[in-house]
Amino acid sequence: MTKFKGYLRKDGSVGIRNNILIIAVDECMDGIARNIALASDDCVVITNHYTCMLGGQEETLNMLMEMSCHPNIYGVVVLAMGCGSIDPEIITDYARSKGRMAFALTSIKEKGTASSIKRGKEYLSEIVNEASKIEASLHSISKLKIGIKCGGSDTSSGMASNPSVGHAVDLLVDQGATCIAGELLELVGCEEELLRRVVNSEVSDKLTRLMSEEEKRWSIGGNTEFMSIGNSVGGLTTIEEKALGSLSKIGTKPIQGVLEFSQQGHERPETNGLYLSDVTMLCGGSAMHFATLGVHIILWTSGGAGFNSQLVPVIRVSGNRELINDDIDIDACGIIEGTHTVKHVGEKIRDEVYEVANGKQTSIESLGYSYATLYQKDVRLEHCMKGMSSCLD
Amino acid sequence: MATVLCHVKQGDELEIYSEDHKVNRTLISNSVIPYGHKIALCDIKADSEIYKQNIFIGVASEDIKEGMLVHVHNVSSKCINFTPKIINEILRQMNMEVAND
Repeated sequence: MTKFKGYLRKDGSVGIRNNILIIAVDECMDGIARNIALASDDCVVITNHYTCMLGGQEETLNMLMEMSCHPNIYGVVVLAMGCGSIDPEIITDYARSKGRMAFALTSIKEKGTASSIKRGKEYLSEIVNEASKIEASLHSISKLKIGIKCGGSDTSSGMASNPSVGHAVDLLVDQGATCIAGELLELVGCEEELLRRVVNSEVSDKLTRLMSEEEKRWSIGGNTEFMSIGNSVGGLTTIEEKALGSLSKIGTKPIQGVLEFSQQGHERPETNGLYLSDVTMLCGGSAMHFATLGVHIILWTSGGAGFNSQLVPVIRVSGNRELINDDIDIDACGIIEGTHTVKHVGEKIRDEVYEVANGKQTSIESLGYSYATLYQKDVRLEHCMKGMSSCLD
Repeated sequence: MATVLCHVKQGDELEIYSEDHKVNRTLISNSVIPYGHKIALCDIKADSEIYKQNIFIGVASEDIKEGMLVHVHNVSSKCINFTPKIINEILRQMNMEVAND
């Protein structure tokens, strides 16, 4: 059995990085959070930019709680201005219950910005000290969770990067890993094939429900925005064909379940194998969704776009010779050029997953740039307003 | 149908590869087929189902001759379809002139 060197956490999860998270629960703390983060290279900052109110933001709060004990995180500092609705201690209590070192800080109580930064840096340095004492140890691949996602897809994706990621997913699942895909809207048209692959009728009903809800969510004025003109200029003819590309990147294994996100919490995989989920098709938001599920590495197919995340390393795969650049980790162009097979590139991707799990930095991981959008699937306020307008009709 | 891996002009002779990179047959193109687009490998009758990698991707909305471009103007979805205006816009952006019957 293949193993990887990771950091064992007290809750039994294993990280592939040993980072520290700084969460700003309201946007007023973003500047303070980023200033504190300057004190360590291993810091990841996540800010809730939306509102400091709690009502309607339950999904976001759930996300922040799960991220505070992501396997790659040793400890967390949670910051609040002190005049909003989100109590930072809800997050630190949860993080401590999962064995993470956690500090909460409220700027008003701390007597302002300068003293908050000073105190935040003290907390950070305590965590850095403890984090440096932990040593990586060998763990089974069955501890690894891999996210599957595409973005900036073009005609090469369906032919090269998607099927080779699909083959890597099959190999990883055979080794005992858990692989999770999302983007349910992009699978519309493949329902028959997906329903043939689910493990039981309960999963089948749930998949049908969540796909239809996602379709409704993106229907504006009765027209679902199902495909861009750019997709068709690039060669995609029908939504069934587009879904085929999306389908090929999830491999061929049975679908164990569909993980639903809701105000009550985010479902997590109960066993190993392949899962679908409510993870959004929007890239920045998807990284945070994957982080919420405890995903260690995202496999991402593209032309030449440089999607990155500081919390969950991203392996970028491209099969487009014209667009490929230094940001891309895996060159799949040989498939179209006839020099490599899908099987060969799939094996290369699997090997890269092992190397990144063992600490190898992905091509732009060290640049530290990433988007961390806290995307909520359901916004309660908008539901309320829909309810109101139907009352008025 | 097959996907072309370079820009194809009308009358070009194409080699059709199998998944393991062997040449299965050759084919003369009957229209311009831009990179990444699809070409009919045989005559396709209107209303017959079209498959890619053994998975259904659409229904022929008219007879398609061998060697012709297979795309939004002659294939429709069973789920949801483009309006004629969008189809024309797609073809315009592709610099394609396809005879509209």
